[in-house]
Amino acid sequence: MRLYPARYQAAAEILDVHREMTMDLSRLARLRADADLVAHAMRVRLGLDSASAGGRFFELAAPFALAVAAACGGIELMRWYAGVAISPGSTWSQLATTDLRQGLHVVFLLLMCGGGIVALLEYWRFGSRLSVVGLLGFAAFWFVAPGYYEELPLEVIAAVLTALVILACPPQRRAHRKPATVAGAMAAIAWFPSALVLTRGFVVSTDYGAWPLLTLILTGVVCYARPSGLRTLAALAVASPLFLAPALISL
Amino acid sequence: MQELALLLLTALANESRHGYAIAQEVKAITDGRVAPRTGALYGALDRLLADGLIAVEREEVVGGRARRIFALTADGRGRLETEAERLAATAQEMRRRLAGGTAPAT
Repeated sequence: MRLYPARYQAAAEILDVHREMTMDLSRLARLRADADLVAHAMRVRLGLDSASAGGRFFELAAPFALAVAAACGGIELMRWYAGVAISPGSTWSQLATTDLRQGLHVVFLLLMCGGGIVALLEYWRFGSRLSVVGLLGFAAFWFVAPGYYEELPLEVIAAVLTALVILACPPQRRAHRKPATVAGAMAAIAWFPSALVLTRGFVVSTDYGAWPLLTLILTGVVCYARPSGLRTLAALAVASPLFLAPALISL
Repeated sequence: MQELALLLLTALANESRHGYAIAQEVKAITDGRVAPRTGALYGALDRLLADGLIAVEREEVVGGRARRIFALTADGRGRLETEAERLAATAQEMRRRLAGGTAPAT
């Protein structure tokens, strides 16, 4: 009960109901129910529950954060794949000699990319969990192999911020179809030309992280035209540090 | 609308109830398939309160414990009716097609 803020007057009632509801549960089920209650209390305290303005804001931002994570993971995966496919040795020998560090890096990128896609397409909870694991793994990997990142670890900070935006979305608040569609389209448009460039099939340069930024601006224009334009625009800005980091590093 | 929110509105459609009774009613409606945990239940109730779809009808003290009794508002009733019509139309179309009917021209 102490976890609930003083302003939240229903805490005692919730605790009574919780006692009644968990009376006949097994030990494990009760632990899970307790964890659910603690999570609710923390969300209320932080103003991130689904009824508060903060929760509603991150509900808007989370699909975009997932899309950005998917696109960035996808672009990095293509960079890795291009390195393997374009190098003189055979692809299989390149893959066979992949060391554990590089393998781990690829796994985190796969989780970021795959998790984002899975969440936006259908399985929000499962996909967003995968994406958060990928993002935090990608960030933690910097401590293991800083050589994989730029000197200034802006991408690492951006990955953590993106994971926090996804986590801040209230549970059971699956993205509404329209924001998820816009976010998914943004991810695809951001990833596709970069993938073509990396595989030498595209003539326009995407240096300095310019293309994902252009995609972000385009999505911003689309969002601004919607009824809740300014709020969606702010949510998009909060969700986009992974797109901004490469551009900032290139400055 | 989220399934849990819809079930909470359904549980309140014919009678005002307190939190625990709502949870039991949801379990009964869904044959035990949906058994909301306390955090999820009150998270959804708070959201419905904030959206004006339910309201606190009264507070009562039972066994020294205060509890709120929730009721549907006019907006909540309207929203539930809209959702019911939408679901009924979908169910009707499912039955028609299962019976071998052709798809309507779009």
